[in-house]
Amino acid sequence: MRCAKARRLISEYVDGSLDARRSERLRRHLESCPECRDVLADFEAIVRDAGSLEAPEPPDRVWLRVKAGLQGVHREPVPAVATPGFAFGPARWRLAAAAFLTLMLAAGAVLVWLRLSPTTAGPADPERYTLAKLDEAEHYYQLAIKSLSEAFAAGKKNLAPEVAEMFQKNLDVVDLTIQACRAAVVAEPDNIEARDFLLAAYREKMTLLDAVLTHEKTEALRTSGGTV
Amino acid sequence: MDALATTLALPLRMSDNRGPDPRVLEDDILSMAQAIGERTIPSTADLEALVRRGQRGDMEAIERLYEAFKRPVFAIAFRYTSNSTVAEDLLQDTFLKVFSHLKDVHDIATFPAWIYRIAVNTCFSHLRQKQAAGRDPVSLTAVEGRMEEAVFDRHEASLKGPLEEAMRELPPGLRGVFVLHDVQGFKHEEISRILGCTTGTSKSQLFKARARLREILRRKKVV
Repeated sequence: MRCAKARRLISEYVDGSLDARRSERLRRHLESCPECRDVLADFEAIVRDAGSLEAPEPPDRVWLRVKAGLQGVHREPVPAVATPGFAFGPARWRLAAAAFLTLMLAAGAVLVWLRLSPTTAGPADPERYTLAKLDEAEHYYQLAIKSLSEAFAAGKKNLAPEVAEMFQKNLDVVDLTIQACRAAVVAEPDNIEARDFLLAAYREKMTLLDAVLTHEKTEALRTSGGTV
Repeated sequence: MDALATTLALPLRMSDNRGPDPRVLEDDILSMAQAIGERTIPSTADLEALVRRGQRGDMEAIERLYEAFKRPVFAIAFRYTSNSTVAEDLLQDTFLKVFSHLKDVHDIATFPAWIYRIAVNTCFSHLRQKQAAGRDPVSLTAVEGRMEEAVFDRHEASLKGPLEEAMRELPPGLRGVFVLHDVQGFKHEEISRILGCTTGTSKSQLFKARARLREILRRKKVV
């Protein structure tokens, strides 16, 4: 058996999928070929190490994004009759969601433009142009957060005290992150990486607000006897 | 371009999950789940019930389907991209495609392989776009990914091994088969259904991937 043929068989031999006849031929070759024995040892090490690699857990926020993306595809049933005088009904929530989505689309459009047009579409100084566009994206994020915060404040009374407390603690952490990122941007206004960190922190805050709004909505409908 | 790359480059047919794939028996689905250490994938009967409810817009059923398949899909995306934030985006894209086309699922037996195939094609499409676009000067996702990986690495130091670095140097086609077989634990028959190739191609690509990895690791004097 030649080494080239033996090495192809080694791959299957490592997996235990080589039939008995070819396994025996391969073993005879390995006895007389130190190079192929090295290949076998290396393949075994690669397979062993690959099997022990782990991946991180997908964060919960991905489901929120998938769910938001599906809202136009699968419409959830809404209560047939809205409760009169209810301060945080589905219509108000929908308005907040619509405002949020509009602003997100605007911010997203700016970011998509930045990705698709790295240097060519801007004026003479592409870096300054990129910074201006990032400023624009930041503005849209701030508007989206304002809209979500107002919607949250309107329905806050529907939250259980312990949920409201937990949410507030998380919000404080995100706000501290935003403050730190903002300080970094102020210290180095031309640092695009610092701007990216700031936008990422804004997105975290929007995800958090979006999650608590969904919870508020569920609680509000449950309290009013509607279905989610 | 090799045979597998050609297969992967073909547009994904998502309008219907019936197709040339051979029928997957219940045992195959369970072994597929066990192979990747996944304990959350429901039985075929439960899966069918969830898919039918999902087709009627039942968000609880859709969420349960997501929960059942999110880990293996995320693992595939993470191994393809080596970036947790990009993998999150790909996880989201995969499930948006899956759920947007849920009404077209007729054959429940091929449903898991159909999801994994969409995941692999979504990852491959991302890598092609990345290759075509070149370096992105304002890569938000890359920045976020580095932030999160830095946190993750403190807990999982083994992830920064030479093998992972070597995997990043593999061409996407070889990387895909290696990830599915040696990292995720799929069998060649399962990979052939996911990638739409023959088992022979899967075995051949796996050998090439291992040989290429060995070359890289030897060059770095790791093996």
